Amino acid sequence: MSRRLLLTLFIAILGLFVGSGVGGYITYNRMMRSVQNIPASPIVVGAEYDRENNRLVFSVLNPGTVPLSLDNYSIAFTPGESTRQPAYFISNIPLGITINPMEVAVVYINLKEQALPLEVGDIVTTTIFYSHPLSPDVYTVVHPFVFEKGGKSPSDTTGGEK
Amino acid sequence: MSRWENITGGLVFALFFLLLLAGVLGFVLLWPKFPEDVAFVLGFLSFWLLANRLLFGYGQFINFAELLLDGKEYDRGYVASRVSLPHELLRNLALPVLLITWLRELDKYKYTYYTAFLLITLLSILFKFNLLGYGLVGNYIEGTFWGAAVITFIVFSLELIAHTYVEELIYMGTGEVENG
Repeated sequence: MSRRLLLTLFIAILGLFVGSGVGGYITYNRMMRSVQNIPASPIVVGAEYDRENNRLVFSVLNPGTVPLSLDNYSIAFTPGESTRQPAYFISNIPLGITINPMEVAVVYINLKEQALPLEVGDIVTTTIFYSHPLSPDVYTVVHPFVFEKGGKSPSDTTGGEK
Repeated sequence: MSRWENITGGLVFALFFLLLLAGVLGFVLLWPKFPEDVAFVLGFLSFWLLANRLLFGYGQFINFAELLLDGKEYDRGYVASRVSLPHELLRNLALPVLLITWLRELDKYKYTYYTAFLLITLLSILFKFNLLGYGLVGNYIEGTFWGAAVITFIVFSLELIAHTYVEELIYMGTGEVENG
């Protein structure tokens, strides 16, 4: 009789192990699926200055699995030492671009009309407002663009959430 | 009468077919939403198919052993039908020997089942430790393994319980031979 009792205990413990294994497997996969659905922040992977049209050209990547819509942007111009253009700030310029998951969108950031072309040392800080379909909130990503020789941005991947 | 039987059989078959179709359709619809769960259920069902003989075999053996130990009436022909031995032997053998032969009959199914389970265990271990590349199918192989593990747990428990009855049956079998 004692042998059967021990056997029952052994089977019960074995059942606990199997059950925890099955539950862990299913729970882990469900969790991973919901984590994968958390929207990501867009990343500015490339920024160039287009002197002809007096605008910045951004390449914005959506690294997540949720489509992001870039609603509008604002720019703050901080003059360098070699320019005569005074500082200015423009806000709420509509964009209306939707970036699908794992895609790169080209975003044109127009500088102020009649503003002088950028000189070396000028800083254009662009704030892009974006939203995603899972929440009514609006998020921002700020990209500081420092104009240097050759017109390349010094920190191409600088794009932090605020 | 025969015509009605045909019609009823046809209806039952059609219903069964529809049920099967609905099941397949359900799996197809659920597959993109819960692929791991579907892999788990498929592993569970396919290993159940493989272990069905064992599940019912050990279950029937345990029921019969309980019946014997309680001292109730039993049908010797029932045991004889579970054992593939010549009729001359069946008539002469004692009941405990028949019972042990009954368990032995299930051994070949048992080891076939355990071999299949061993294969899927090895496969899922190889995927789990990234020796074959975890990426595409490894997760689903693991789901199938967990489905199989549930069935294996039941088979293993039933087998262990069934074998505990053998000793008791042998000791009480000496009294039972006179009855049977």
